[in-house]
Amino acid sequence: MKKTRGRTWVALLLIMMLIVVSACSSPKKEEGGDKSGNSQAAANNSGGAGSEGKTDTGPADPLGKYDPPIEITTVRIVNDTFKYADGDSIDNNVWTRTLQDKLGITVKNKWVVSGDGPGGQGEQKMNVSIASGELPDFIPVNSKQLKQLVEADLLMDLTDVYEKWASPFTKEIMNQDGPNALASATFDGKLMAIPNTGSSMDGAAMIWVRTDWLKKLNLPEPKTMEDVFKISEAFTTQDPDGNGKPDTIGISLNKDLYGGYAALDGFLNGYHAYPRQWIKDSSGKLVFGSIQPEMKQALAKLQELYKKGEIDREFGVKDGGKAAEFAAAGRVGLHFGSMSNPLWPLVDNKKNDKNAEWQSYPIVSVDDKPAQPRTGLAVGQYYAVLKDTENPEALLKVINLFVETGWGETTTPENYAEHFTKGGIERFKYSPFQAWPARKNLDIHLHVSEAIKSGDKSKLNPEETDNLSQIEAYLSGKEGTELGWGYERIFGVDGSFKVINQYVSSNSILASEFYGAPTETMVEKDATLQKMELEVFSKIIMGDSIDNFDKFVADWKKLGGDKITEEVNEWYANK
Amino acid sequence: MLQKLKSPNWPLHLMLLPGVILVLIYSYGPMLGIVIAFQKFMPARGGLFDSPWIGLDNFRYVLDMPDSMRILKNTVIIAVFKIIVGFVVPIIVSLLLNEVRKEFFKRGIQTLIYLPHFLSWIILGGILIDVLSPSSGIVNQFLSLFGFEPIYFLGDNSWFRPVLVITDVWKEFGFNTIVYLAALTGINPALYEAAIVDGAGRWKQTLHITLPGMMPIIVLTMTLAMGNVLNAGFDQVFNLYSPQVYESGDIIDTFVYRIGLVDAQYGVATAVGLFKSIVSFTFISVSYYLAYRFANYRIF
Repeated sequence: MKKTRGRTWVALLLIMMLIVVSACSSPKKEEGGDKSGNSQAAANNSGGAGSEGKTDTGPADPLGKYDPPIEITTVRIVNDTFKYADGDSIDNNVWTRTLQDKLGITVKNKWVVSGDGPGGQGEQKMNVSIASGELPDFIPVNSKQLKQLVEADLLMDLTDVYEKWASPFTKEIMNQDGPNALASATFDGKLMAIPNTGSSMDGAAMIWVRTDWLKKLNLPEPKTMEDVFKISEAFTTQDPDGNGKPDTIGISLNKDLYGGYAALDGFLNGYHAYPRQWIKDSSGKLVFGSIQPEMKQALAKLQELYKKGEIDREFGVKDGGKAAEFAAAGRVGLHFGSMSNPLWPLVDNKKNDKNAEWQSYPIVSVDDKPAQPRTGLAVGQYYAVLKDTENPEALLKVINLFVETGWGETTTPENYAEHFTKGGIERFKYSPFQAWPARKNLDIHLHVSEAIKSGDKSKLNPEETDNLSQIEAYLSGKEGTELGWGYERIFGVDGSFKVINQYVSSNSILASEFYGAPTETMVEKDATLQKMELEVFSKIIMGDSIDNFDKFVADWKKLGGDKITEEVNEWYANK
Repeated sequence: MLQKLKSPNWPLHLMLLPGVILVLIYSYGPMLGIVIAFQKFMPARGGLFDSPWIGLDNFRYVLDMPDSMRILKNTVIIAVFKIIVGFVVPIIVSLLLNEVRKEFFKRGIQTLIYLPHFLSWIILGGILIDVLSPSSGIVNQFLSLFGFEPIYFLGDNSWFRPVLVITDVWKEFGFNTIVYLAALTGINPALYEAAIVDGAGRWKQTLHITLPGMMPIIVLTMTLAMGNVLNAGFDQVFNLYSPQVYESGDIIDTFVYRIGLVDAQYGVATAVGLFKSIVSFTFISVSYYLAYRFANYRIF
């Protein structure tokens, strides 16, 4: 009897262990199976299809199809602006189907997370993935994560892969914004990732004003900072929406101060202050913009505006999204923003209030020195490849197809619409790997306004035709064409790219002087320093003594800032 | 051992097994990760032991940080106030509810006050930001009826901590009240009858019968609360704070979150977390000992 009990004991224990252990290990098993399937496919591939194998010496076809098809893994960081046609999802959409049809590539997402802001959910999930080693073959990372992976020696050197497989058009796009994009992904002369190139000029700040309010209150267009203050005061005190309540404010602001909707960058640039940017001082050395005296003046003015109620009293608890709701509700008439603001969030304001009219203006200066918008490196994302990946060139094939579909010579308006904008849905977002021509948005504006003036649409490429048709839908006065209003405000004759065109033709955009990977001390101290900056600046705006700025500068230097400055200048000297 | 197996209790002990295994896997296993606190941890390198050892450098780094004392102070202040207020309010409410004779009224109140317990802070955070807004929030509209200037509850360092304590207690007191009410039903009614015969009024009864009767459960909740002395509530603070109130509201947990998850400095974050665990462990050990000394309460 005793024995049986003992045995039952042991048996029960074993069963429980089994349950726990099997529960733990089942996902791993699946993954293992997956991997072997993958490499098998790859093996078949290099054996079967001659021209596609890596070992093959024949000429590389940048858009060649894998036969049999291969499967690649990656991860996706999406955001709330992703919309899908019926039945589609991030795992199954027009891009995944096209990649299968045209390239024989099946994309498998190891995970999908919403939240692509700096420090957001996506970045955190990526950090966790890196820490736990659960990485896909193709890894979208930011520059800091890229540095981590390079240091850990996990990445494949893509120098030759890029040379061999990038199409001439892809190579052109990679260099359109200058050599910095590729340089920023190069470590010790080796290209360790492919940058998702963007356009630095597209990030230049500008002023957005509600012109229907301007007209109503008989105010001038903003030509100087004085005008901006005048407008802001009138919008706050003179009831521009005419509802009899003092519920409007002058200048919109979000709690992060820089970046996102309703940030301060443009305002500060008007004071010749360049927060979190490395600028050249008079001696030719690089210095940190946030600690320069111009910043102090700008903060003093912001404090004054806050006191008078011209800045949202509650900006401290409002992120960009909340600040956008404020604008959509018609509570604010001026903000410092970017070229894309008509599509978000101003179009929501237009939907709520048909009379709302917004116009963009170049940033203005507080003195006689012209204001210069400063832009960072236009690469927000890099695509790195794990060392043991079988088909690293798949990355470049996808990018080749992406740029070819968007702006290549072989694409058609239908093909473009299908993959980029059809049905008012931004379909281009689905493509896992992308690259964007730096000048293309400006060219759209130039070509579209030319076509509007002359009536000749024959010279437009598919994307431009698509944009023009959106704009024409709006101009024809049809109902429900607010989206067309948004496009008109961006690419139209008086769109926001008119402002950027002014910046470009007067050569006033200042590019970031530092575009390397974060330095040793930056990785360690940046978080502390940035937190301190945000805290001190927000409190000064909300009424703390302006002299706290001097204490901040001293603290910043002491707590690692001096060391970072040293490292950045070292990088600059060796560039 | 075999003798013990004979005892009729062994099936009960067996039922502990799944729990023990879960604790081993999910609570003790991850403790291995503590080694990260003593490393210059390189996340992508994979294993726990593949990064270089740097001794106590991470701890020194944290001590050198200008904020660390402030964060510790905030954490302790917020947590202690939460424990005290969150401890007293449910006792008082349960004593008051206990005097209510109308059953449906008592039930109604109970249900109403423990509802917020089931809302997450991410929802309550959004609600509170609206409710406490200086320009449109209902609280400030109410205050303005009496001629007060609007108060920026979530952006003012002198108000932020009280708001944290009050909202936390508001969310949780109903739930704790139920625990005490349960304890109250366990008190022998004969004691009250005897007290009435002796001429004790309502107040004397409460003082000499109800409170002593609740004492064991009070001591138990107090002991459990001591282990939380450095848990000032990540969810709550994270959803309500902003840079302006870092000065009064930044706590260890939000700090660890920023350092660890946002900035990927895992070594430093682990060091802070380890420090916190050690302090919490000390506190709970002391309070357990005290509970044993003064209330004869013990688990083992």
